[in-house]
Amino acid sequence: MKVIIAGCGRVGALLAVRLGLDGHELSVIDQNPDVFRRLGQGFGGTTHRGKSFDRATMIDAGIEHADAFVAVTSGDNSNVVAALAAREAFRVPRVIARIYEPRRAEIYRRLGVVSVSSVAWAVNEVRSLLHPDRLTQETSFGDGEVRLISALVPPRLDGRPVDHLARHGVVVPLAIVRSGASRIAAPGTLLASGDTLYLAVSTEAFESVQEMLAP
Amino acid sequence: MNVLVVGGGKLGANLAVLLRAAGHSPTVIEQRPDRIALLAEECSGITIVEGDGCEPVVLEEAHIARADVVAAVTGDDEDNLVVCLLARRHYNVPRTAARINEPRNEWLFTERFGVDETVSSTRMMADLLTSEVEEQ
Repeated sequence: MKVIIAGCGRVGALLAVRLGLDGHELSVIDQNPDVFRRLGQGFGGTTHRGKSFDRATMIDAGIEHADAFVAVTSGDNSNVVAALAAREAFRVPRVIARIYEPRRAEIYRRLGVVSVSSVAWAVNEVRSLLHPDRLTQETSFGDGEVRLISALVPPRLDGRPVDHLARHGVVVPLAIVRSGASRIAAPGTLLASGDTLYLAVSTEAFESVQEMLAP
Repeated sequence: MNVLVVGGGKLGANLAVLLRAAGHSPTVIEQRPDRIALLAEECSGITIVEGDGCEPVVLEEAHIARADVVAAVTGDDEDNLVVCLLARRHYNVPRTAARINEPRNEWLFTERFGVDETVSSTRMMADLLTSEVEEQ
């Protein structure tokens, strides 16, 4: 896959190196040529000096035949502009922008700009690390607003139907693992003490789920 | 007509003054404290909103949803593009106009970013000079 990364800061440089090791063809754009040092000597891709949304620089980096374009400069606005230009003017199939400000990220997402918000992600990550208890985070979606968590079913809930834990729109029980075998947590399925239960939980319900599943 | 001017530099401030004189109601968004002080002095009768005009909260404080026209006239092309994009595609503003600072960014100022009209003083001056040369 040919990938163009605009912005050779910490994120851009590490991403370029990792994707290069994965065997992808990389081109990195930055206004400041000094930062290309971050890529290290083994970097096999190309570097291009210029603005992330400068037409000539984008073409020089090979955007006309790129499979993906990633905008990770330090400016939210230039990332949005570069990402939209890559998608709409050059029809790059996969375009991702890093947006610091979570509220903006949400708006741009609705406008079709796929974005990652490192600020929102870090906040959600720290929040979940502050509440380790018995819930294990398996994965998180988007900026971490919805998480897939697992927990051991406490004796207190033995024999209760799994729907007892569901809350409309914020908590969805997904699967139960009992003696190594999994089953869908369909309404009416009875919990047994010691089951591992998997649930999708949105941030606002996290604490109440923690209480429900407390030992 | 409600006009929201984003960017209170020389262009934005004078634009607001002219619009006001023509009987319209301009609001100016500006984030630099020294410019805000100047605006308050120079432009009586014009609403000034302090903040970053690319920020939805600030645009909402300036009642962007009620604007008939948004003019994005900051000194940064990416900011002007984002203002037009948000105005048209998020707040459904019927008409937008943008300042182009660097001619090499002209290609971006299209419907793609919700831009209806553009003003590029460099381009205008260049066209004027080249047409004069051609006429001679």
